[in-house]
Amino acid sequence: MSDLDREMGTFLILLRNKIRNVPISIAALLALLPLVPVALWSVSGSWRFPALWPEAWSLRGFRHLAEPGTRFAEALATSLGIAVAVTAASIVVALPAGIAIGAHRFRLRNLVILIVLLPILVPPLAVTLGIHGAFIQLGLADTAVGVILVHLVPAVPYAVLILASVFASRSGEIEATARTLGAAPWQAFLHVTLPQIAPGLAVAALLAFLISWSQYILTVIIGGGSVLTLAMLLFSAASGNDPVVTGALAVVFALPAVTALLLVLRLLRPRVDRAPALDRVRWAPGSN
Amino acid sequence: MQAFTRLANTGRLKPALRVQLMVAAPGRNTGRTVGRNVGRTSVRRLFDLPAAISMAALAACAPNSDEAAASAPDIRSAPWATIVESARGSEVNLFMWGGDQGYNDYVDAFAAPELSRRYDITLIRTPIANTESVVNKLLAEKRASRERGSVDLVWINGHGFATGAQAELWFGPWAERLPNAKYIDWQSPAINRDFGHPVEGREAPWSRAQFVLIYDSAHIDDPPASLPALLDWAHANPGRFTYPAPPDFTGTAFVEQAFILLTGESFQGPFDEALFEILAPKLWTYLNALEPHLWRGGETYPASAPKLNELYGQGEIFMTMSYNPHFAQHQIDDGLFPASTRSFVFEAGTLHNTSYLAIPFNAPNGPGAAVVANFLESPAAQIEKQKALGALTVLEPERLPQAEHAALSFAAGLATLPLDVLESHRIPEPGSEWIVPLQRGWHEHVARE
Repeated sequence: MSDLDREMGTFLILLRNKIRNVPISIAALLALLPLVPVALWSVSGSWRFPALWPEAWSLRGFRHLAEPGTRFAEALATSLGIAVAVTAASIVVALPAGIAIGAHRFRLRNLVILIVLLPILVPPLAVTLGIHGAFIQLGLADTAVGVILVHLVPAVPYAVLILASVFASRSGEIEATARTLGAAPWQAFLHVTLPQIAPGLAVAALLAFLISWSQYILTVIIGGGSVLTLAMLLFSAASGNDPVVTGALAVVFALPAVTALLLVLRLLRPRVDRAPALDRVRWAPGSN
Repeated sequence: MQAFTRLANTGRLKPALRVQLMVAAPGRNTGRTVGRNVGRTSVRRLFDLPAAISMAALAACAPNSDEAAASAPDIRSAPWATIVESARGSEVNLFMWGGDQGYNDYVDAFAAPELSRRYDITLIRTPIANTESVVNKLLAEKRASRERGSVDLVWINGHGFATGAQAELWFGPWAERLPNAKYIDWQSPAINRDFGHPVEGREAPWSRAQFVLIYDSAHIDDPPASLPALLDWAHANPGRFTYPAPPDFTGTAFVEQAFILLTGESFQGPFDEALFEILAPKLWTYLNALEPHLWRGGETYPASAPKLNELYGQGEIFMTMSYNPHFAQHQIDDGLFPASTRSFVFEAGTLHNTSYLAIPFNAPNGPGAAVVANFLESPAAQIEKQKALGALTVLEPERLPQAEHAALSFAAGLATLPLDVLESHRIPEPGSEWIVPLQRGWHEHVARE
């Protein structure tokens, strides 16, 4: 193979990958587009119809968030803490479930899948009203622990779905090889399975995080206002008459989602599988 | 381990056991809907193991203040000095709609520091997107017989209060025995009835709103102060008047206003379908006569009050309306309305309502809540509120010392009507049950025809 052929081959592979990236890029653009006016509102001093851009700029919205009575810092910390806890708990529950459903065939498997999916099939509001009654009895209503538990209801099914599909696409041969070379099951899991499912695990974790982060109605019912999250501050501001403060809250609220979106895009980006060596050697610096 | 010991000591295991029993014997408390049953089942599934752990965590986090609550004075009967003493050093959770930045800032920057300075009370404002969610939360707590809730004080009026009153969610009576209640006219139906529902001392008046019409004096010399005059004016000035389509709050208020003025009824009682069927055609006839002279020939209506104000600000229409009598002046000050903007009210009066502070049946800090409510209706707090927000006072100016009387009577700017003009042109808000039929009827008989 001549140098030129090699160059052409690499170029074609990269071109194909770029084209494959186009739909993802369009999706990302569509997802980010609605945030533009919100971001503009958050720093606008005066913006009246029919002006296309704000006529004056100000940091009033963000300054407002810093005032103590708005409880912004508290809500941010609460949202983060709850979302991190929900993410951790979701993965702990979903990983074994995903392995079982994805990698194993057993009796009543379909029934198990149905039960796992039930929380997203049944309207969550109807379920939550019942949960609320029970949580009041248990002393879990109006507590962060209760809110974390109720966030798991929508978060776990999605995490299980993602992890099950990750394990369904794996044959388990590499683990078997590791076992024949003397690795204990936990060693095979730690050193073989875990690195390989890391991207899938990350997507499941991000999704669980975002599901918790964006919950409003479940938090309001179970947290009863005593557990104040960023989503609640945002909804209450959005029900009112100050688009600048609402915009500032929305920008902060959207940050993790946008970050997560970009991370997921990186993780889902098609790999250059066929000719890794070529790609690395000739194009890697600065190309990807 | 320490947490578990505490758990046992505080007796918090008992509720957990009760739920176990309830799940085991579903006949005892049958859920009304499928959803509730599903919820219960999934709770049991979730809770077999984690319950004990989370309960322990909870017991470790929750401050043990049950003893304090047990010895708290009853705000319905205890001497005021005892109530104030018991409230000292406590926290009060105020749940209020968070959409009005003016009110938010007033509570955060004025009320909270003053309460801390005067009474050593920490006021915690929880912003909520709508007050109904608090009422629903309290309803659920009532159903579950939860004796100790988390809300001390709610800013409320109208439908939310009536719903809560029917379910006995409000503590009381306490509001009429607050020291500052002497400045309030509890004999007036504008105070002792909330959208037609009897208050009976279960909520303390905090603020007032009154509907005003707003016009541009550069285009209108003499604003039409009655409905027939408004129709004539719209006829002579086609396209210069409109109102927001219900169910917008302001648009609904305009329709209610017209209903009352055209029929001469006040609709304070419960909804009466027969009466509504007889009287409503008068309203539809008037609004349909007005329609062809409206902005864009009445083919479409602005979707909200901000849209209406935008049209007015750009000079497309010559009149707008608001439920805040100081709104026009605020808009002039912000450069949004022309300086020639003025307010007026119908000769027969305009809608007016009072908003209140209520204490839930299971408020953890009743004395603190009463002290906060009393402070918020004090002359000092009411004067500051009128100055900062333009919100009308709930006090009777004549009952106040001279200096405070003067401070409240001061009209803030040319576009604001003086307090005595507003006071002498007041119509109470109709009962909340009348609102939905009016909104539905408007869509059927006015928007569609």
